[in-house]
Amino acid sequence: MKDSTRVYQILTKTISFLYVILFVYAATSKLIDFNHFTTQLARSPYISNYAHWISWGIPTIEYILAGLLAFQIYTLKAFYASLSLMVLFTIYIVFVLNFSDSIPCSCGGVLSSLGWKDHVIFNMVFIVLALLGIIATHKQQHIQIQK
Amino acid sequence: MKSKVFKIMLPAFAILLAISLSFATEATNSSQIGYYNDPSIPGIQQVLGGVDCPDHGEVSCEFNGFQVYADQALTIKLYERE
Repeated sequence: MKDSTRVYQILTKTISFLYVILFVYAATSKLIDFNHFTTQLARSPYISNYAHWISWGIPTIEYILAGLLAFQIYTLKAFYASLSLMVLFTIYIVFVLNFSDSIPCSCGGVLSSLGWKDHVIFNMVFIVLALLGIIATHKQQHIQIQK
Repeated sequence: MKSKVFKIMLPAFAILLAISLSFATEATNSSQIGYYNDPSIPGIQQVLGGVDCPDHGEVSCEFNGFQVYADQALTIKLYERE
């Protein structure tokens, strides 16, 4: 029992760690090159009208989620929110790839060097990680309740 | 002590690592200048904020409906990243 708790704890911490790096990295890269990010969003299909709000909103949400993931009491909620964000972003990419000719990349840092299809695979990996994180946190809580 | 490492040091390390990485890779994220010709405006126009379009691909890189080029002479066509 103690061993499985330890495994779930390590798994949760590792996934949180990876997500914190991803969110802080992505948000900081966007803010470093903010004008470029806003321009790319303004050129993105379907969301160009909301470019100003999204350009501030996404980094803010990413920083908040990174902060929440760092605290154990918010980990589960943060995993659900991270999963939702990644799913939303992936749906948008898939939608743009299938229904639009204009596909500018508004991602930050080295992620911008990924093509859209690579980006979908990258997102899918993080979606799976969020799901694993949710399951591991639930299991961990279940074991703690049983004690 | 172990608990402190997990609770404080690890998230702090992750945050610092991510911030350092984003500054370290800033150069790779620098915007490429793109040019286009809008006939209603005299001269060649520059895409504000830069573009993220390579010089090879299938779908043309456009700004406000105009083809974007890598040079002011408008000879090198740019394409959307695939």
